[in-house]
Amino acid sequence: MPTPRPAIVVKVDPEIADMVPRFLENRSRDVARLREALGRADAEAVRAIGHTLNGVGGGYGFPAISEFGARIEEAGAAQRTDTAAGVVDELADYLERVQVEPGEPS
Amino acid sequence: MSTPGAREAVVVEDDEDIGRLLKFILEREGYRVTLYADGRKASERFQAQEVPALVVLDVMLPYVNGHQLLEMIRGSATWKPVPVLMLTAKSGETDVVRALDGGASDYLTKPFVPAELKARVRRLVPKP
Repeated sequence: MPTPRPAIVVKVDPEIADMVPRFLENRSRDVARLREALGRADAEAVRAIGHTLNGVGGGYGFPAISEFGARIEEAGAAQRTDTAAGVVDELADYLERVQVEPGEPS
Repeated sequence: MSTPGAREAVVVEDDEDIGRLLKFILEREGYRVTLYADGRKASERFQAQEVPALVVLDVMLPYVNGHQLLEMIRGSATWKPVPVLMLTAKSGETDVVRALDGGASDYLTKPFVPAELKARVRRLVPKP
């Protein structure tokens, strides 16, 4: 039986905590959209979705999502879809493990 | 939740999550927020005589981009004095220069944290 991977706990500003579930749902949709774009080797679409992820993550208290987005954007811009696919897998793993708690963002 | 008679902020942002976050934060700051998801709809609003206390403009927008909207605002006798905060990408140094040269009052790079947005807005539009 595989060992469960540890959760990634992110503390978010209690003021915006109610908005976070929808935000994370939209990021899971982004993973699906990225995989579709990678499936058709559409590096420009990959770059554009990465750009959006980069812009949106930090505002909700998820700088890691912005960092994934920046890496996906960079890989898409350089037409490196294999690299982008690896980062998309990392993002998907992050989204599966992330747990949100209200608190002072770190 | 905005209060009746609150000052208006016009926000032009096509990303749903960023738009929702901007609206939430500005409402918490006491603004009544009007959100436009594309540049064309926003440009129609800029023909109106009623001007807001603040405009927040994303750069990359469908149909009409933020720089073009800024040009419309600064070219309008009615809208010219309104403070405009531009939202630019982290890697968009040329956008920052273009925005400031075009008459933006200030800029904020994405990703931004809510506290930075609030601070910049308070500097642009001091509370009465």
